[in-house]
Amino acid sequence: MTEDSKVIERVLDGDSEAFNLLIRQWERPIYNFIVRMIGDRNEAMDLSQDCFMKAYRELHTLKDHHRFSSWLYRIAHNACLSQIRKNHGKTWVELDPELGAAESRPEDRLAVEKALGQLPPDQREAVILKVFQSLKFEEIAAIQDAPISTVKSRLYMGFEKLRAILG
Amino acid sequence: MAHLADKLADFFYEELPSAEMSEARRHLETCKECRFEVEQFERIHLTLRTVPELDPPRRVVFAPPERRSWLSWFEWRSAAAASAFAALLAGIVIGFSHVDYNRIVSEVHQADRAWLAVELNKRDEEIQRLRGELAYYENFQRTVMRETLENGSAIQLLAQRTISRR
Repeated sequence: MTEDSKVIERVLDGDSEAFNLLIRQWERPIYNFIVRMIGDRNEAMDLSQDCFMKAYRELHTLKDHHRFSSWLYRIAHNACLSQIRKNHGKTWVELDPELGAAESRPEDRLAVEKALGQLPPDQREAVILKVFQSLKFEEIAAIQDAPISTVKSRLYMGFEKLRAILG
Repeated sequence: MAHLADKLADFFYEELPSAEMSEARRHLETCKECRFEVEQFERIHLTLRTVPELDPPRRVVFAPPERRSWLSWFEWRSAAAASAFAALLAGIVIGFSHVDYNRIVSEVHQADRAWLAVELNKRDEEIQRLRGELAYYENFQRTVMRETLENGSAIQLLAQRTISRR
């Protein structure tokens, strides 16, 4: 049994406080996924908060407790798509170049983030989940509710466009 | 083996079965074209990876809703028991009286009580939910205040250092 599934059983048995353990485990990856999807740090934080609240409310509907992370990413996926639809027409917000690790040049990081922002949401998501979140194709397919072959096509197309943009 | 083609990503992320992974490695030793494709793929992957992970600006705040107390449970049970007793009493009265009018009134009352019990239960649940939300917002407010104080102290410290360097 995975650590997540043990904690989920505790929460479902009435130990609601244990849900904080799941938050501590997943808040950073979920936040990073959302911020890369929508490009706005503050909106991403609010959406992360909403995702965990929704996950808590709907935890009893999760059938396979071993798939908590995919299920949580699926909630985040829905939140991102809804936000992207809401923000349609808004300019991609570039992240603060001074934030984060210092091993890459700020201008390079900005170029990459801007390039990511130019991909269609489904391709951007496939790239983010594979490259940054290191998920398996099978997990990404579950999150995107698409066949594995479609996920791979999105990744290839995303990489192609990034290659063209970044040179 | 044929070219990697649509198996390139599976190979790069090591999601091919081990036998196919070995076969793909052997193929790459001799196939310049596939090697080039893998290198291009790796280049984009590594370029993307230069973007660092971000720290969330604050923690996700969660305050679980309070559990229903034994007192409210007892009250609810008492109300239900009282309703059942009243219904039983009404049934006995009707049984003896054989008056249709009384039976109809009693049935209406029973239906009213059942409806009221359900409504009271809904109200209790709503109160519990609102208490949970209130606790969550109070917790959130405390976190924001604490972070504000921490940030204030850090700014003060930085200002002092800057002044002392001058």
